[in-house]
This record gives sequence, structure tokens and C-alpha cells, in this order.
Amino acid sequence: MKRGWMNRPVFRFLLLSSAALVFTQLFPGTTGAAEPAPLQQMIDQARPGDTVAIPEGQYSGPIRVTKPLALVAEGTVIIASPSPEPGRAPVVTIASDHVTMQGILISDRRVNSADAALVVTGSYNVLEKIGIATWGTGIQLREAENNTLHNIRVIGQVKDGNAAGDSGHNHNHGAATSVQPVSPVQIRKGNGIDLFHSHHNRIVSNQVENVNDGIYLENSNGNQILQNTVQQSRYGFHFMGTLDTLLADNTGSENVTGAMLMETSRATVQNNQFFKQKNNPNSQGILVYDVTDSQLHGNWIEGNRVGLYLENSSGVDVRNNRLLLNFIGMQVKAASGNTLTANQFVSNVIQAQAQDSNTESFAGNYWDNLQTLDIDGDKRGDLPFEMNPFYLVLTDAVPAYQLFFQAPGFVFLENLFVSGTGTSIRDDMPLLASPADTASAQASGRSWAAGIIGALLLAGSIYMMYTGGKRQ
Amino acid sequence: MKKMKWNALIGMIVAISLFMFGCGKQEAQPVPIEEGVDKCEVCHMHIADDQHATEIVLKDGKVLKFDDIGCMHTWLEKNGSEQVDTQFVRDYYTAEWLKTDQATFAYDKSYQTPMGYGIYSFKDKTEAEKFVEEQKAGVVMNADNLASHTWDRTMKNHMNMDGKSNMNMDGKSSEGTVQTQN
Repeated sequence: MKRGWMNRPVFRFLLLSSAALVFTQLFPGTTGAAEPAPLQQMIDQARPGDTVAIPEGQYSGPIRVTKPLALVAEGTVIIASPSPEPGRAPVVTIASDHVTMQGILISDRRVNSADAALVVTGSYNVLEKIGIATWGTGIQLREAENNTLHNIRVIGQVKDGNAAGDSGHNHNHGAATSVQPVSPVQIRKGNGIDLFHSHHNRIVSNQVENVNDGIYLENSNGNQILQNTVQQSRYGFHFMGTLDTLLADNTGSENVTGAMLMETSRATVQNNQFFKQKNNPNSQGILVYDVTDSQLHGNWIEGNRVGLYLENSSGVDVRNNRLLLNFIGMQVKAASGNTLTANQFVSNVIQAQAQDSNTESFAGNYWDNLQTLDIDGDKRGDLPFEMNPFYLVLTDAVPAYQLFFQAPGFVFLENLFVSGTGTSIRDDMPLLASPADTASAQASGRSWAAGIIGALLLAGSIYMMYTGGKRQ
Repeated sequence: MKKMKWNALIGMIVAISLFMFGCGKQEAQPVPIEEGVDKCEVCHMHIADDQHATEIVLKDGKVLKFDDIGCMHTWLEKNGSEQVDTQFVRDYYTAEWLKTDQATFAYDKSYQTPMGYGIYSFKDKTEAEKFVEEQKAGVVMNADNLASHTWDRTMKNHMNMDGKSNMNMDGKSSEGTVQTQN
């Protein structure tokens, strides 16, 4: 651990300087800003509507596309930033509408730069099969509408980050070991795909790794985010001030938080998978804060520290989600007027906790640890499932009390406080069987086959035992 | 002779106890931000160790951390300031901790902060005035003005505008990319 940190700045310096060396050798004429890069010339000479086939090779940025073109890579095309200076322009800027870009790799070595490797300010552009290795942000959409981002891979290069942190130690490298002439300040991760005031874009089948926020939306409406994967980042999908966003069929794993919905209205979050958000003390599968009139349907939230955290929200419909194997399945705080129904809570250490919440409709969820009775035979328990605020209240006041998580004394106290208070949030008609169980029971209609095989085996073994005993 | 010894002893006890009293009145100190661990008391976002972080030190010594001065305001509105010992903000340029009542603030809706409250803090009033002049947008406020501030958020406004966003923005990076100048 320690050796790694000491070596890192030296290693980075070597890497950067050797990369710079390679560049100066490859492009002896492109070190100055005066002469445009060959690729820029090709783009400048093309007429609007042309298809520019880019021959295989390395090109140096910054590249600016200001007219509708199709840029198609033939073989491996790499566009790289010439230096790590943050002041330089983005590696590729698309300041036009109707641009198609396909099959290009972008490498951005600038650190702590305000701009992304690829900046889009136009509309109706299509970016496809693009690979980005960046020390900052991958793609920024700025007042850009109706663009399609498809099959893009953004990989953050900052290795020392503590976003999905091992233990969250903030090693102050660079400051102590000042061998690093390139960046004396701490290198900060950027976002994977970053939207600001950008509406109605489609972001489909992209992959983001090791960044700050995988897909970040700020003040952007009507975007569709489908089938993306974000891993080892801070927040997988982060919405700040959005309307009508569709987040469906995405996967987030090993992030600090899978999806973070804040100040958002009319969002649809469905059929996403959030796994293993647990390595940070503040990890959640989905965090919903200050959200109104939204739907969380059919998500699969497994193995997180907290599966679903709902706070300060109203009109959120949480339905058909599977919360499995989380430390805490669900936490609800200061929320009101939400509907939580037909969700499955299975094998969470604590299934659910609620605090300061009222007029919540929790009815008809499946809780696998529930002890209840069904007297009237309606397949719903007649004893309620209660969510206890005890743990939340205590750990809120003194976070260190989390040490007593599931400690025997703590559980005892918790049980003391639950009886007869009548104030805790409860599921008054919990499901007796999980929706998945009933489905599989219906599916196994051919159980007679198994029965016949079983009978044959039983007969056989009885026969062998009987005859075997007889010979002796 | 003996009396003098007693007097000296009593004197010392008095002196020490006075000294101890002095110690008890120690000023509240800001606590460094642990990036990746600390989250905002109000909005649960992780706090970047930069100029936007703020802190409240309570009278019992507990420290509350916030990612935006607006979140600190939200907490104070909800919980009142009876328990509060000191409030801290950080200088926009140096990220040095300052007491809120001694800082100067600049506000404009185009300023980008983690929760969109658009307030920057400055140690020097002149720096704040210069900053507003350079940006050609914004107003300078002191702590008293801040009390009567509307605390509008760009994100909330955006949602109320129902998609018709006509906000003037400069295409600068949003949260996550660094804007510190130190």
C-alpha cells in the first residue's frame, strides 16, 4: 500500500513524459498551435454532408467539427491531447448539428480540466463506438439536444481516487512528495457522460468505469438512459434537477451509490440492476432525495449497504422491486405520500427502517422474515410488518452507534421500543408468498414427471435393500 | 513563613483554576473534510474538499458538514441555531476556513455550486467585489444580507420552469470537475 503511493507520482511523471516524447517524435510539426493537425485539415476541406473516412493512425487534437459531417474511422484511429495542460481545448469539440462520429478512440491527458475530452454543443448528432480514456470528464453535452450516444466506453485514468474508495483515506500525494512537476494539485476525477441544460438525448448501451459520476444530468429534461453500465465510480447515475427522465435497463455495480436522484420530477426508473454498492460508509443502491411524482419499478437491488434510501420525497411509486441481500433493505426518512407495494424484501440483514414519515402507503410487500398469520385465507398476512425507527434515530444522533448494528443488546432495545408505540411505519397486509415464488409454482405444472421418477427410484432402492438383506 | 507558603498554594490553586476556565472557553475549530467519507448532513451527497464545503460546530463539539452553504441554511432553518457554536465557510480562492459572520458572499444564479445555490464565499470583501466585476454577474452580500436571501436554487427553478430553460449559462463544467485555483 505504502510503496504504491510513493511510486505513483514518479510513475505518472514517467508515463506522461514518455508519452510526450512519443508524441513529439510522431508529430514533429504539431507541437505548436499555429499549424493545424492533418485531421483538422481533412475536416476543414470536407463539404457539409460529406463522409470523412479517417485512415488508421494517431492524430493529435484539438479537433473542431463545425459542420455536418460523418467521421468514420477506418481501423484504429486515436485522437489524443498533446499535453496535460488543463487550459487546452477539448480533444474533440462538436459545435454543429447532424454530425456522425464512429469508431474513434480519444485519449485525454489533461488533468483537472474544466472541459471534457469530447464536448458536444450541437443537436441531432450521433456518436457511436467511441472509446475515451480520460484524466477528467469523458463527454460533455452543453445545451445539446436530441443527440444519440451509443456504444461508448469511458474509462477514467485517475487510479488513486477514493470515489468507490477502499477505505476512503485521502492520501495527500503530490503535496508531500513533490517529485511531480506536472500536477502539484490533487488530480480530480471527472464524470463519464455529463449533461448540462441538454434535453431529449438518448444515451444507450454505454460503459463507464472509474470516474466521479458515471452519467450526470443537471437541469436537463426528457433524456433517455438505457442499457448502460457504470462501475467503480462515485455515483453511477446522478440526476440533479431533471424532468421526465427515463432510466431503464441499466446496471450499476461497485459504485458508492448506484443511482442518485435529486431534485427530480416525473422520472421513471425501471428494470435497472444495482449490485454491490457497499464499499463506502455512505453507500446505497438507489438514493432518492427531493423527488416528486416518479416511478421506481422492477429494479433489482442486491448486495448493497442500503438498498433503497428515500428521503424528502413525495408521490414516488415504488413497485415490484427486488431488494435482496442488502445490509439494510430500505430506509425511508421524512417522506410522505409515496406508495410502496409488491416489492420483495429478501435476506436483508435489516429489511426496512422508517423515520419521520407519514401518510405513506406501505401495503402488500413481501418480507421473507415476517412472522404472521393468515386467518381469512386471502394470501395476505393479518399481522403487520413494522419498520422500526430506533436504529435510524440513534445513529443519526451519534453515527458511531452503527457499531452496534445487530448487537444483541441493541436488538433487545429495539424490540422494547416497538411494542405498543403505534407510531412506526407498517405494512398492514404483507404478502405471504413472494411474487417470484407464486410464479415458479405456477410454472412447475409438470411435477408429475418428477413424482414418477421419484417413485421408481424409491421402488428400486427398496428392492435393493430388501434383496441385499436377504442374501446375507 | 508558613503562612506565606499557604498563601502561595492558595494563589496557585486560584491561578490554575482560572487558567483552566480559560481553556474551557476554547474557540471552535473547523475540521478538515475527508473526501470520500464525509457526506452532507442534509442532501447526502459526498463533500468535495473544496471551496464549497461548509461546517457547523455545535456547542457539544459535534461537527456537521455540508457540501453547499445552502444545505447549511436548510439545516439551520429546520433545527434552529440554539445548539450552534460556530458556522464556517471557505474562501473561494484559497479554501481557507472562515467564520460565516466574517465572510463576504457573492451570489448569482449562474454561479455553479454542488446544490445549485450559487453562493461563493470570500475572505476579503474586495476580492468578492472584484470577482463579481470580472464575472459581470452577481451581487455582493455580507452575512446579514445572507439572512434575508431568497435561497433560490437553479435546479428547483429549472424544474418549475417545466423544461423551458432560458437560463444564461457559460458551459462551464458541473460538479465533479475541479474549479479550484489553488
